[in-house]
Amino acid sequence: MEKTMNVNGSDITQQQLFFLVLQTQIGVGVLSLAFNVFNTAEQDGWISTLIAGLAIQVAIIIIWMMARRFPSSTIFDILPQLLGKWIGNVVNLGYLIYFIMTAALVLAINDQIIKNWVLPETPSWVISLLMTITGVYICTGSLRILARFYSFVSLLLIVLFLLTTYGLKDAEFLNLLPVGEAGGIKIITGAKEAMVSILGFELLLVIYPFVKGKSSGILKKASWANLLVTLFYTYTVVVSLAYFSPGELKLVPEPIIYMLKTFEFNVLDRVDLVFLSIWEVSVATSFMIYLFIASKGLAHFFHQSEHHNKFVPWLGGLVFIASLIPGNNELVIKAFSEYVSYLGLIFAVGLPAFLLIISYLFRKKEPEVMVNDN
Amino acid sequence: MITKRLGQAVLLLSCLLLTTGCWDQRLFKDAQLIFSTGADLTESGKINTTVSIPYVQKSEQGVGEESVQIVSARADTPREARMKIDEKMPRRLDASKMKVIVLGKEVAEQKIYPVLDVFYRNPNSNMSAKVAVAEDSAEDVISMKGTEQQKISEYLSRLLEGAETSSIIPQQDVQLVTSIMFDPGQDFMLPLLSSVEGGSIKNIKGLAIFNGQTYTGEILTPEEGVLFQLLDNNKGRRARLTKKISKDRNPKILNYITIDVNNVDSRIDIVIDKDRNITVNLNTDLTVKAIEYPKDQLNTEKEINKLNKELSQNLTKEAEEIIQKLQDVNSDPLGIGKRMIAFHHDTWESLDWKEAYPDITFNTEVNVEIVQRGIIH
Amino acid sequence: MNFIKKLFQKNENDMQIKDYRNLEDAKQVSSSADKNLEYIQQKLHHPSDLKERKLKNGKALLVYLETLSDQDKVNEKVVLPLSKVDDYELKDMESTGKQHSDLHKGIKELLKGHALLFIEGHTELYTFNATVSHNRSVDEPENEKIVRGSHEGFVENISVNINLVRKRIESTDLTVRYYKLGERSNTNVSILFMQSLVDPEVLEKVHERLQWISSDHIMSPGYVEEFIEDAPYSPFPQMLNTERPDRAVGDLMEGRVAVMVEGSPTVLTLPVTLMVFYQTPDDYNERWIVGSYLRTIRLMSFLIAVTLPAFYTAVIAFHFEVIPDALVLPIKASIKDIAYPPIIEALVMVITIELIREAGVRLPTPIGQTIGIVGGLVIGDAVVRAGLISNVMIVIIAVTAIASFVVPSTEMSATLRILIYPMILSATLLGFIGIVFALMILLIHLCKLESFGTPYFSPFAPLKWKGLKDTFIRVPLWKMNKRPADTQVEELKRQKDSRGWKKP
Repeated sequence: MEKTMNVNGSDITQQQLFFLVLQTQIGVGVLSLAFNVFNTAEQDGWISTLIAGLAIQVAIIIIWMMARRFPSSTIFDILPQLLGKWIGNVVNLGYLIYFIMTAALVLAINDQIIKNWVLPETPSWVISLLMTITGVYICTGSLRILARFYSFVSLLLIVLFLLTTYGLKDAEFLNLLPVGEAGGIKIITGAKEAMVSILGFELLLVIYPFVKGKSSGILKKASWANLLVTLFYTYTVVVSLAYFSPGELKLVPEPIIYMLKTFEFNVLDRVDLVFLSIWEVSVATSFMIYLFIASKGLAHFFHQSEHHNKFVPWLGGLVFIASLIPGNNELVIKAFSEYVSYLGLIFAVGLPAFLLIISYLFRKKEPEVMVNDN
Repeated sequence: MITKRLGQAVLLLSCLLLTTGCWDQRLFKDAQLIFSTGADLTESGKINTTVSIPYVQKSEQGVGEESVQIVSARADTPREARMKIDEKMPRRLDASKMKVIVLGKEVAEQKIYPVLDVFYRNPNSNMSAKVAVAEDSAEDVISMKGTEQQKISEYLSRLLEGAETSSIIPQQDVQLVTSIMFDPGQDFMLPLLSSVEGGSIKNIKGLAIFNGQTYTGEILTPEEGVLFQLLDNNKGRRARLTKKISKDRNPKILNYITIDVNNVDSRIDIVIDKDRNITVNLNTDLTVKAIEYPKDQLNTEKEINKLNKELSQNLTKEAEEIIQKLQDVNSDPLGIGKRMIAFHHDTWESLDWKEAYPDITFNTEVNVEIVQRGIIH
Repeated sequence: MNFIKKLFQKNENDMQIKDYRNLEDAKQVSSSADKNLEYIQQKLHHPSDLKERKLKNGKALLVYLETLSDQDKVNEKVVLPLSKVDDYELKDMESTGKQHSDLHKGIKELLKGHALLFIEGHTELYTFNATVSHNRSVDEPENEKIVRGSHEGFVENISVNINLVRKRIESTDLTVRYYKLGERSNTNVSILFMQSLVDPEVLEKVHERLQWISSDHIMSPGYVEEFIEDAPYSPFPQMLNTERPDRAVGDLMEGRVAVMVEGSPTVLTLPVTLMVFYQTPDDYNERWIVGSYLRTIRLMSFLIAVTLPAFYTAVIAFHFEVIPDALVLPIKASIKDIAYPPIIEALVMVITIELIREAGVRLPTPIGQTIGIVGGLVIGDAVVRAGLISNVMIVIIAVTAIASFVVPSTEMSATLRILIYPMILSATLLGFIGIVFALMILLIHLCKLESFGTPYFSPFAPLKWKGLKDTFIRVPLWKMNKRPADTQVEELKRQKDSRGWKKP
């Protein structure tokens, strides 16, 4: 049972960790994942998605192994310990920038899709501003507030799942055949594309110390979340591949909503609008967590780790302005997204692995590790 | 302090939001809905777009009198034509509740995607609208009077839905048509509306066979349509066939049987021999119910077996004719190409499917089994 | 820093109000009865209802407030016994009265309705309880009627109210604590709780916050509520108001604290969650299937009340493509000739309904009903005929209004009706996307809210499957073996198997 606010007011249960990881991973990517993987891996896109999930599982284990050695520190505390104060803080800055850029990218892509699909005339800054305000509002609270919110809105994923399932009505599974025809290289390239959509597990770097309970439980919950996300993503890819003919899928950048646009129910036509509305919540959750961990990082730089909320409004403003830089140019946003995805692979997968090796080589870990982690 | 300042900032920003107004508001009451549209090709190569706009009057009990206005305009593209119509109308035209799209014969004989592009690109458009081909001019179809009670859009969509129910045409809408249109291994067919006579169309003339994106000029009759849906394993809610099973009985009515298909199981096997000759085995098993057999005496097993055999032969022959017709115009609505891609990918890669398709061999077989005879035998 | 500052401020306040609150210091009773009387007169600023009677040839002085004390009781307790004893020995009086030597203490008792007896030459006084109380009967509260179950209600007298609770819980566990709140009014406030069930932290918080109250009077529980609630800027009520003893008892048994205020039949229970407002004692009197059904309806009403007008506004102003084909023309016909944009339409109707309600509430019942009929039927019909508002909008707003009255608590009902405005506004600005953002902010707010340390939106957030059991459905009583965890109750187990007699 969740007790009242403790001193730093931010401990979360492992169940809440599960929802945090789940909601962070499911975000902007879900709409265009099928399109992206199809463009590289063709009808084997679903294999790419599964492989991406597997790769991310490995990355989660790496992060976990590293974080386990520093059970009460965030990545911002760990880095100076491992790399020395100076380099450590430079890398910290890198992480901070990465988090800020990801948040800005989420805003930009969200804005672009909303503009294309629902509100073509509304200026970009309006949607981004609303999102920023919502994000700032929740992030001034503790991690626990985020966790509660995420747990609740996860119920909406069931609706997304059911709506997607409706697409099976007109599915043609011959489109998925022949399996493996695209070839290994294309599938792996596709997996890279998919990985970018499933990123989000790197929040573990920051929130690990706030999770209650055994560290093995943390790994288990994060892995379950990853498994669920991977399956859900694979499912959407399979449905999209089966619903659209290969020729058409090349032209449809957001296949899931395009598919739903066709369906009519007796009470409600055009369920794509319903889907988009619910999807907006998933986007918001991804955005919020990046804003949150970025504010933790910023607070670290000002040596006020306990008072991240002071920095949230400023950070929100910064992210908001950053998100406006690409403007409405779809190509610029695409380039931006490409750039951030490379950063993502470096900061979420590469660096943690490197840090893990260093911490093993130099036998660096927190002294009390054996006490906390039994 | 921070929360207070934050509160003020939020307040300020929300005021800002309010003053700027609602950018995307498009009021339902101001929209001029169009329910059906037709596209024709003029001699000069322009597109003639016709739309039907329903009007309703409010009355004490909900919807009052309805009337329909038909407007046409010529332009280089359907979008431009729609803009021109918009200029003629007092209110903004809105196609988001479109129900039926009718393509004139000339348009269909060209590539049809360019005419439909406007529907695919616009997020508001209704992707579940039905598409049909008019035997000659789409404008005539759109501007004809519906029946007493119904608007033309409603009449057409009911007509097409009815045909779907009785398996004459496949389940289709704009989205499904495009999906097949872009599929290298399959072609589609669209319902063909017979030409307008005396202010109304008679019926659905059949299925217009398309090769790629263009109408070949050949059609499947409604009876052939039903059989084709069965071969394609794509039975609607109901599939009924009336077949002649003998020639010499008198009165003539005794020569016929009407069956209602309960279940259909159609299998397509593609066999490729060493010389890369492609043979398609098309086996269709039907379990049927006799719903009309004027000759009576369906009570012996012998009689039923005889009928089964007769019907099987009859339908097999007809199926072969359908396949031949499709091969002649190089149209592959059964999706044999799709199966080639899926199961014989290497062969597919080495072939030019459009060239190879007319020459492949079909072994078609339809087996009929009567399992129900109604409430008398 | 802040904390010290606050403490300091409080001290300052104390200084200012000292002159009329100086009953705390002891004041020795004077041996002269007249002097004592004079002091009392001065202290009470010569009130006209202060009665004094010289007895026993002026050797004894009886003082009481005639408006607070019962004349008969005074006679019976003081005058009669006094007349029987000759030289009024002290021990005789001790049997009926209490002895004090502090005059200030005596004045306090006097204000409660006790009679004071001074005896010439003695530096002690005697107090006799002669309080008169004029009580309403414990009728069923008008605003919380139920179909089956207890029809008793709390009244304005705090001791009657405590009596009503104590009668229902005959347990050593039930604890009552008195507080005197209001610098000038000295209102009796009491808190009740089950010692073994209540979370000590909650109790500690209540105690601390009550101590902080320094308002000069406490008119009603509303005062207490505003002083001690967690988030005063939130639209949501964070304590449950009830006038029903059975409801209060039920809450106590779930580990909540009840706050009673003298002079008001309303009892506050805390901590609460949002879902508490959607439960009524009726749920537990109905068969559990019926109870569950009604509860589901009520929860649905929450969604309808908050989102329906916004949804409709968004649909006809932004996304009319979601209207199913069969409804397109009827709705179109209905709104075609309306002059105003949907938001004006919606606001006019919502405000009209509020006006009708507000006008009807305070009028005598027959007139109130007339207002309802005139407002509802006549205005509604005329407004459609005049083409000001479409009849679909009338249907939507009417359903919404009814849905907002379904919630059993009037406070929550008002909250819901307030929430309609931001929802409609956001729908008008950005359609569905606006609604989504408004709902998200609402949800975040609910997640952030805590009532005395209890997450307000429990069991949804934090998500607890077990808690949902008593939320959407009302499971059979014999299956509710545990208390709801949201009050942070100390002892979860509620019962063993109450249907254990049913052997296989």
